[in-house]
Amino acid sequence: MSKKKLNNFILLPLFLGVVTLVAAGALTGVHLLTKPKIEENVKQKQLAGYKQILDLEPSDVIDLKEKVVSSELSNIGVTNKYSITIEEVEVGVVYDAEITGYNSGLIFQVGFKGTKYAGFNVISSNETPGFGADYLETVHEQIKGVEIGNPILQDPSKTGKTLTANALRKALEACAEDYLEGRAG
Amino acid sequence: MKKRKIIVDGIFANNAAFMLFLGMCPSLATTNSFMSALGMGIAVLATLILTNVAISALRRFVPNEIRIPVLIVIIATTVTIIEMLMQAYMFDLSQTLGVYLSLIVVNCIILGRAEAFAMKNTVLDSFLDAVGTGIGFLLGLLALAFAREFLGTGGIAFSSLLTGQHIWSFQLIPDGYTITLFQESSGAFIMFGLIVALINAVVAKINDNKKKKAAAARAAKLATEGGK
Repeated sequence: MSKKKLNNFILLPLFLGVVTLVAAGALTGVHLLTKPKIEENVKQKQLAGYKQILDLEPSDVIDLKEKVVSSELSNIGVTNKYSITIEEVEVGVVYDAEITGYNSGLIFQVGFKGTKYAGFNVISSNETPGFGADYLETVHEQIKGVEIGNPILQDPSKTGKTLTANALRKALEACAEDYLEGRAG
Repeated sequence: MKKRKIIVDGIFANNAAFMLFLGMCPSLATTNSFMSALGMGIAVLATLILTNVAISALRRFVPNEIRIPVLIVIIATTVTIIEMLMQAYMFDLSQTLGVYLSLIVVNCIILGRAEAFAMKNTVLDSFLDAVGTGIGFLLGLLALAFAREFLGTGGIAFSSLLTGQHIWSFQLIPDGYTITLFQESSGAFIMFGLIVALINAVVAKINDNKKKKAAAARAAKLATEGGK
C-alpha cells in the first residue's frame, strides 16, 4: 500500500477519532460538573411551577405525594403525578409531562383543582420562538378555571402554532380525564 | 496585519450582522428582548473566542483533507459545553434562548471565521479577530433588540443574566401607542431592513464626503502646481 493510501485510509480517520475522543472527554467532564446544578435548577423550577399553577404563595411549604401514572398516560409522555398538600390538606393534583409539539422536548406541568383546570407551566421547550414558544405563554390563561370536559386550546389563531396546540390539547385532556377518574375512584 | 485593525474591522467594516449578513437566524429570532439578545451575543462571543483560539493553536496539526470535520467537532464541543454551563448557571436565560443556543453550532460566523481566519493566522490574531467579530455581532444584536423591544413594548426591561430576576425597567411609550408588530418575526425582518438601510446611508455619506475631500485636495494641488 502506498504512503498516500495509508494516510487516507488509516491516519486521517485515526486523527479524527482522536479529536473526537478528546472532545468526548471534555464533554463528559463538563457534564459531570454541571449535572447536579442543572438537576437542582429543574427541580426548583418544578416546585415554583406547582405553586404558580395552583395559585399558592411562593413562601408556602408544600408536600408532594407521588401517585401512580397509568400506562396510557405514560405512553402519551406523562412522567409524574403528584397530589399537592399543605399540612395534610390536598390543594390540587399536578402532572409533569414531556411531549413532542413542533419539536421534541416540550416539558410542562398541568394542575387541577376541584373540577377545573388550575393552570399550566412550561419547564422547557424547543418550540420555535415567535410561533410555538409564544403560544405556550398563552396556554395558562387559556385553560385556567376552565371546567374539565369543556373544549380547550381550540384556536391557535396563527399558522405555525397548530402542531404545538394539537399535541398539547391531547395531553392535557388525557391528564384531565385521569384526574377525574382518580377523584371518582 | 495591525492588531487594532483586526478588532475594528470585525466590529464595523466586516460587522457580521449588518455588513456580511451572517448569523441571521439568531439575529432575527432572539432579538425580541434586549436581555435575550445580550445572552445570545455573549454566548456567540464566547464560542468565537474559544473556537478561534483552539483552531488556530491546532492548525499546524490538522490535515487539510479532514479540516472541516475537525472544525465542526471543535465547534460543536465548545457550543455544547457553553450550553451546559448556561443551563447550570444561567438557567432562565438558557430556557429563553431555547433551541437557538444549540444552533450556534451551525452559525455561519463561527465556521466562517474558523476557516477564513483562524486556520491561517496566529493564536493572538485569531483571538483578536474573535473579539472584534463577536463584539460586532453582539452590538448588532443589541441594536436590533433595543429598537424592537422599545418600539414593540414601549420600554426596555433589564434582568439579571444569572438569576433572571428583574433589575430595572423603563416605559416611555404608552401602551396604546406601541407597535407590537416589532415583537413578531415579521417585525424583526422589517427592523433589520431599516437598520441596514440606515447603516448603508451613513456609510454612503461618509464615502461621499471622503471623495469630495479627495477631489478638493486634488483641485487645490493642481491650482498650486498651475500657479507655479
